[in-house]
Amino acid sequence: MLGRLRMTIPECIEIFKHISKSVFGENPGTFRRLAKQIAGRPFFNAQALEKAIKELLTARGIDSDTLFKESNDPKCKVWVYSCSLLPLLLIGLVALMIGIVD
Amino acid sequence: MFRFVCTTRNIRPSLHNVLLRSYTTWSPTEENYVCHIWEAARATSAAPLFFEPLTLRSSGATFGDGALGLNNPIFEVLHEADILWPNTTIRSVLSIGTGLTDVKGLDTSQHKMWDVLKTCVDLSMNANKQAENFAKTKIGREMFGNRTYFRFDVDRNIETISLEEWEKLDEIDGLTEAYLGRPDKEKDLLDCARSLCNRIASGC
Repeated sequence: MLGRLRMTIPECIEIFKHISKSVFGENPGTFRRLAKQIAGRPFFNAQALEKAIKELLTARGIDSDTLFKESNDPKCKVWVYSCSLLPLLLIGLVALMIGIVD
Repeated sequence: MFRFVCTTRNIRPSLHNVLLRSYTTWSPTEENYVCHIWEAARATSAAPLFFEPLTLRSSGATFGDGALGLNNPIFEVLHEADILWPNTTIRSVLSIGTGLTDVKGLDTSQHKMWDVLKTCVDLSMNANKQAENFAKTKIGREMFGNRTYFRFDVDRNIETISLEEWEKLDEIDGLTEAYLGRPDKEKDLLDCARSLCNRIASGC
């Protein structure tokens, strides 16, 4: 929100409250959590988070499917951290291709 | 002014940690993922037990599957900066933690999810450990010494607040204010503000 949407800190806090309420508002009780845990289901609804973020974008006059990448070299650069299985394969392939070129 | 915003969630030795960027990386070993803003937000918040993993529409890559995160990506920030601006001296780094004992994760007391509890303790120790590790490196010592690295991390009582307890924001606010009100932190804040202002004034 700060970096990609250039929101101010007070704006971020307001939106944080709103998003938290819509995503964590239906906090499952102990029993339901236990049931979800046994069933291997996450506790909170990812669709609610997705919807809340899209609503935030729309409210700020941005298309809800706007790409995270702004341009090749935006002034304010942002990245988020996550993990994936796929890049291992890609890096393996790249390494293999470099090996072939060598 | 260049700014990094890093959020971290997922790491597991068998999985590969990736950055989703708002710019193009020219690093030969890094992938430029195509994703929507909402996908980036989802990918980085897919903590296990909280949300299900996310699969990108464009490439089909799946993120956030069952792992808890590297909470303090200071080395990743420096590495990324080095790729973007090789041989440039970094003028200021501001690192903000989420509380020294960090995210409690979930209310684990009721149904004894020891694994989760243990993971969350590991996680918070990881963030703090990482800050300590950085302080010991050559660059870390230098940046501490010349007041270009600042780390703020509320170190008391915030651990009692769980991730999903959004309604306790006032409490977080109070604890943060108490932390920043300490004389040493007040000085750090001022120095940090000066450091950031100098950057802007010099047009970097």
